[in-house]
Amino acid sequence: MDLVSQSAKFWPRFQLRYLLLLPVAAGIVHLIATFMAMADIRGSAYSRLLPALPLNVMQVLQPIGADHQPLPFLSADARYAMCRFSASQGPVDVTALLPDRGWTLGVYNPDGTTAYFAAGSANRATMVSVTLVAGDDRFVGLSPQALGKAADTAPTLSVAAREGLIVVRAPDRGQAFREQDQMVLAKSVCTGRTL
Amino acid sequence: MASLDIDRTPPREIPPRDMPDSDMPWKRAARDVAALLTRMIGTAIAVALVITTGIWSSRTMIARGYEISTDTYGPWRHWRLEGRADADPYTRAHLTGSGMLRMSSDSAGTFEASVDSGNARLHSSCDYVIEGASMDKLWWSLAVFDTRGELIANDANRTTFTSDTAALNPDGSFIITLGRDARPGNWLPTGGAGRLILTFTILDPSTGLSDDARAERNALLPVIRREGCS
Repeated sequence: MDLVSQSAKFWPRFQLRYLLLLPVAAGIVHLIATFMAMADIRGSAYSRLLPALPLNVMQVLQPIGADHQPLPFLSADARYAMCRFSASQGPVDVTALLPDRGWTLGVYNPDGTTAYFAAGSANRATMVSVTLVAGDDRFVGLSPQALGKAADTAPTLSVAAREGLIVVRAPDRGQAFREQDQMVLAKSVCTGRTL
Repeated sequence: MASLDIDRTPPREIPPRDMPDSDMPWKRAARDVAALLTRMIGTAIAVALVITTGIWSSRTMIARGYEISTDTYGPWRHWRLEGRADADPYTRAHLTGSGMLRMSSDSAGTFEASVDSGNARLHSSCDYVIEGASMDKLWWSLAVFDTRGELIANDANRTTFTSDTAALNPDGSFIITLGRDARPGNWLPTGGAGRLILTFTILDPSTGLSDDARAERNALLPVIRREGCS
């Protein structure tokens, strides 16, 4: 038997067996690669901003421009105040005023998904007050009512988020409004409570 | 007594004169080696093909989306479940890997265009006119980036227009021009950036939008018309 007939004997078996397996194996590799990419947050917005943002402190960012753009595709259509939060040591209280249309408050998980979002209404100021809790049924302290006191503030919304970013966004309305908007933005608060 | 000096080594096999060439021992060995090499190379090619195809298809779907995770409206592409907790793995990987901070798709619509309405790549060597209908009091913004997502530096420091900063027509519609040379009106400079990507963001009202209202909104996305290239 010569080489040609030998390989002719080998290849039909090879093709039948492996050609059927190839797409299945490629599909498995596809799924593994996709889930690995999904779990890899090294390039996420949270990871990129991590070194620049102190923990549980709201910080007003410089105006976005070509010379200062902390994230890709971050437009100069707004000014931002951001806070990197961690509720692992205790709840984090967030307060922001959304005075007009286009103002938003977003709570983002490290993978970029939104845990909470609020948008301002046209010509009506909205005060947003949110408490971020780790979401593991941990005791987060007694409420004023449980302590026998009348609550002196409006009830806050509790959101389960262990860590991530809080972003308050003030739309750019032009030069005339920038100083005023900057002042409102600077009043946004993000404070961690230690239990 | 004289010792018998017997040679105990086996006699050399001498192939008979009528044995075919293919049955010669060295040829059998060569055949085995060739078969083994063929099998090894075939397996290596198959494994490489499987890994390359799997990773390439995954990366392509994460970068571009396709119908499984994106909607297309003319030149605009929209990640259907962007920023949502119930987003599919491609959308989540797209957001995580790109480093973007996007508003959730149930609070805002973020649309990207890398081509014009004639399906030609957007490029800074061309001039474009972007015509949009009135967005019915919704807040919107239009920004231009290079392909790395960086804003394009220019002397006018203009990289975006919003519903508050653009000069709108009396009926609420708008025209924004892209080009290297300054123009009157809503002009965004693009000189020297190469390929361009536009993002158009429309914020939902605080009360939210119904599916019908969202579909109506998406039907009103701007048209990107190429005027000419130099």
